[in-house]
Amino acid sequence: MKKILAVLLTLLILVGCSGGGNNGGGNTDNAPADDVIIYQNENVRKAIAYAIDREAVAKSLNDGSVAAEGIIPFKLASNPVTGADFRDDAGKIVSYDVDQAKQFYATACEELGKKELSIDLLYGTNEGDSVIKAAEQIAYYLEEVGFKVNLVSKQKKERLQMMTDGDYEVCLTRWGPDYADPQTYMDLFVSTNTSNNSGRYNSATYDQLVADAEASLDMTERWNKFIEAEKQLVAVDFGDIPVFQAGGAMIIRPTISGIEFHSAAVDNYRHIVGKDNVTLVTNTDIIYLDNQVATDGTSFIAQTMFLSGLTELDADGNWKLDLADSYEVSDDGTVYTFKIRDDANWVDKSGNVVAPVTAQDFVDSWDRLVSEDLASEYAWWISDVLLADSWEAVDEKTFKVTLSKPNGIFMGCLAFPSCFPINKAFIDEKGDQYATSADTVLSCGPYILDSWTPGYSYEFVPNNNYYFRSDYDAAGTAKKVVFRVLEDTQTALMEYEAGNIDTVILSGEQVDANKNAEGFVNRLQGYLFYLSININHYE
Amino acid sequence: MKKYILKRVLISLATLFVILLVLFILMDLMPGTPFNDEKLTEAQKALLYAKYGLDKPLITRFFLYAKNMLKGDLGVSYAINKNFAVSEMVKDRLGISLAVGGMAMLIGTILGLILGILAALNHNSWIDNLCSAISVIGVSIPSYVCALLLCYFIAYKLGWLPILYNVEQPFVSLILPAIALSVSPTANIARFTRSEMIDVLNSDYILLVQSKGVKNWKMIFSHVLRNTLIPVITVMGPILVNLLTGSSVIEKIFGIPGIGRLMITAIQENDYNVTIACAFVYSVMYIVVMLFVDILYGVIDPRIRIAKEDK
Amino acid sequence: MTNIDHEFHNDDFQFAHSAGEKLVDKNYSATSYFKDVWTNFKKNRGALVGAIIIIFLIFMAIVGPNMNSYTYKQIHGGQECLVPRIPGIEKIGIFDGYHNGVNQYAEKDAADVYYWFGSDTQGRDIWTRVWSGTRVSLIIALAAVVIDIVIGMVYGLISGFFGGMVDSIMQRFAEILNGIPTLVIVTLLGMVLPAGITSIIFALMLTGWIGMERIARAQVLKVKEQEFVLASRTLGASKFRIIFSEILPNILGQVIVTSMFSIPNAIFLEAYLSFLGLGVPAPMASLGSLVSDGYKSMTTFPHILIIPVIVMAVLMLCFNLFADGLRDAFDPKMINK
Repeated sequence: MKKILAVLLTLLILVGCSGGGNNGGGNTDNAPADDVIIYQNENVRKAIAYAIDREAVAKSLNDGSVAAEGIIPFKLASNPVTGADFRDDAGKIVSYDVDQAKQFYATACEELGKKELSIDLLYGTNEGDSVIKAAEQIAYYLEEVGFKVNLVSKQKKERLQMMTDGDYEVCLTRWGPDYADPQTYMDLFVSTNTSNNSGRYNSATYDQLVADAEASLDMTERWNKFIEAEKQLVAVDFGDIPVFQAGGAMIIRPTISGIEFHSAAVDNYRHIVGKDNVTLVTNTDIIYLDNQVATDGTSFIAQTMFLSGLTELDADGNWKLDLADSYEVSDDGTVYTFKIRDDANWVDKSGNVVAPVTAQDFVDSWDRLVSEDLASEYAWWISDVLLADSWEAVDEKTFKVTLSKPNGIFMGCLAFPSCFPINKAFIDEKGDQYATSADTVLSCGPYILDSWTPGYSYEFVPNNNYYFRSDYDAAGTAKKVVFRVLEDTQTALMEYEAGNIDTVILSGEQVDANKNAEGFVNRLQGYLFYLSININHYE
Repeated sequence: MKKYILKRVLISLATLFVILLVLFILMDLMPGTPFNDEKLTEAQKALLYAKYGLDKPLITRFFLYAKNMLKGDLGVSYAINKNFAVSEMVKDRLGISLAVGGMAMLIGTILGLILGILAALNHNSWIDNLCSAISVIGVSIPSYVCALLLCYFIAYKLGWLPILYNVEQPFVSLILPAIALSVSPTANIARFTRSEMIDVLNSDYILLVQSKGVKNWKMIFSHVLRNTLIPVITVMGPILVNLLTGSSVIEKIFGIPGIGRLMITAIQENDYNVTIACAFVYSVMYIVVMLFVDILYGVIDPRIRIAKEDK
Repeated sequence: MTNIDHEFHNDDFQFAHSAGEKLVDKNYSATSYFKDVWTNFKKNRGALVGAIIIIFLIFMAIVGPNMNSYTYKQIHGGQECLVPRIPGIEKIGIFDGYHNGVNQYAEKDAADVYYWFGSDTQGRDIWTRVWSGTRVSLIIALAAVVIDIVIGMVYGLISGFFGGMVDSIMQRFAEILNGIPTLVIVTLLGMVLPAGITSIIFALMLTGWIGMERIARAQVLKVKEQEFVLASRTLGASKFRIIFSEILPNILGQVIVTSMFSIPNAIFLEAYLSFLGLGVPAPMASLGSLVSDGYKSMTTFPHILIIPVIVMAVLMLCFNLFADGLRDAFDPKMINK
């Protein structure tokens, strides 16, 4: 017995020593040590950029993700003149070349006077399986050219905190675009953006290009400046390293259609046809029903079901009028005047009309969005995206907005839930309870939120007082739309095959076996995953 | 006895108070904040901190929280369902979790006792080996693998039961999750019952009973079982609590809006109030179960009662 | 009274053996307690088999990862999800790389490649990962349990031996720690400490010792009023001596048995943490992380799940058998029954 114990202990010690080398990561507390400022060396960044086989990374994820060709994702924005996709115009500005990467690595080692360079690669553990897989893949490719990689896994909130504090070396992170314009990405990396430019990439050339683009009134010049700026960031300075663009494999029951996916805006589930009772899958629950405080896609999708904005996006991502009957633009393109529909009404849960939607509701909404009390994440939407300087209710149904300069994406961006109208009287009445249940919201959209069981499901039924309702009914739009919260993709797939739900989100592991299934779609999302490199952010 | 129970209850309350404090401190140590988000600026974060009173010192927040808790107010959620009253969130989900847990415990206890008793009565025979094998397999395979297998074969292939949880038929759709969850308690109770019962069967007083010529079945029911069950009851408390913790995985697989899953999400989202509330609910359950077991133990086993009253 | 004969007579006693053989008392050599245990243990076939398989698995955990040219984190693009294929054995129709009637290896341009246990969704060798995962799981479990024993036993000994106020305070402390759900402690610790084996061991240890402490305390309470302890006390032995040289040896058996049972628990808890994404950091593997990764492929490529599940189940089974046997061997009451 003693012998067995002795053997066990000896083994333990032996094995412990051999396994112990892998878990020393995460020690970035005492920055800036000698080994963490290596990222100021351009060759280190180049070596990283050239080392990653993006095609292979995307392929291994197998969920419809594609290799990034630049920091701007595919199908985000199209050329205002020709209509070409940004990526087609900008081309592929990243490359994979092991030999070059090895050379850069060798040069970097020489310049820094080191035998070996070690990287702490930070990533989130609760941001989806694809992130973990991608981090493992990236680590592997970096090690292939000689880096020693420590994978540092953290929960998302902590990861973001570490990025904010500059307490990291390289982080696999992502950006979800809010609107269909390169600006949503390019703004992230200007030196003055201390919230998002975590690595403190600092290039006067880049800053100037972005500033020029944003100031430009000529759409083509603006476009070309952004192309140049992206090249400066990704292919000249190697400030941040794009890796892949998220996909989304799913199966949609072939009998239903009309789900409109938008890679740069909120998906639209208003026009589902083919079945009266539709049950859709969502892998996260609604976080907040308040359209001005919500920040996540799931909440936004729910809000577009029961709320409406001045415009909405069609299947191709082009805007069309919704709550607005008509609009006028001043000749210089800075003053927009909207006529709100006479038949637009606020409706309560039982379908009764509470009040008409007025211009004042928009004024209240925008005032509330920018107010400090609300601390909304999208407070900047009005000034930075819509470029609106002032807004007013001319009369009960006329809403006037003055922009700081002409804005080509203005109309499309009005379809974003944050700038949808609110009913102030109702909010004041409900107080803290506002938007915490189906009973404490009003609708002005095609559906009414009938019930919400947190963690389980939320259901929509038609709003018969919606002005387009007859068109919807004529088109055969679903009479009941249920969103079921399911986190496990395997049981969800079984439930789909059993016929109880009408869509299912697939994990990368399930794709191969189901890619020939009828109704399989590989949608492309707007999320671009990139390596944020901590160049200058050490305190 | 009354004095003893009162003393135990008071100690339990004090323990709970300390646990609450510990949870508060743990929350404070947790890296990150509920408001970390790519799109939130530092200034906005500070605003939110002030809005929810998180900028106050720890001890002030703790006493405020404890005070509100006595009124039944557990604060609001910061990240999962923003501004939702946590007491509502917990209340709704606790019921479902307790239902699954209760069913699983019932299945586990009955099956476990049957397996354990069969094995002990047929000690060292093939029945014993079979029962032991079943119980060992039960503790050897992770519950999520069992759950998925059950789901695949019983619900998906054979269609006997619903695959996922369904509000409209709560009982039927909770059977499968309860079975999946009961695998490990079954195994644990079976093993424990077996070894306790073998001990009892080999004891001198049973020999005495046998020599007095008491009928076999009567002996088993009135002498062996009673003495076997006493120690079994003591392990059931911790098993029950473990089972509730373990339910988070089952809840995820079967799409059940339960408290286990809520707690995991809350921890990952740094949703302080929800985490504290869920964790505290578990603590309360644990303490209550332990208290109950303790008192029950005294009731069943006269020796314990006397020993405690002597003190 | 007078007629009673007080004298011995010749025929009062008779020789037992008339043949005059010599009578010798049978002498048994004294056996130590542990030798006794070992003798009893050997008789239990299941436990012996369990022990042998555990030793085999430990051996594989050390040697297995180096038995082929792959490493646990080596990624092979284009060779994902291959089913097991073993040279030699493939000729008899099993482990031949066929999946749904198609030779996956030929299809993926890897005709002369062999993954003995197949490859996972990132094209990593499952053989290497399973054995290095076994290694990691064993390290975690053994380390957690060894620390459990040390802390739990000492705590239980002190608490049980001194009793009274000391016992009360120590028990309350344990109760508080036990009253916080393990998962909360483990998760929060996982967030405070850097992700890694050490953190997991630490987290498991923090709650694991309480079970051990209970057992130790209960045993002490049982033993401390017995005569041999009293004897030692009367002879003036120090408290320290009584605890460690009188009481400890008497409860050691029970403690070892409990620890053997808690190894599978530790492996399980780690598996559970992995399922929640709180396990060992990637690309490191543990049995738990392999099972939870494989779980995602169960309906499409079941081999990714089945292989680690089998290894894990066998390990659990053997530890349980081993512990059962050990308990019987340590318990004199169970002997000869």
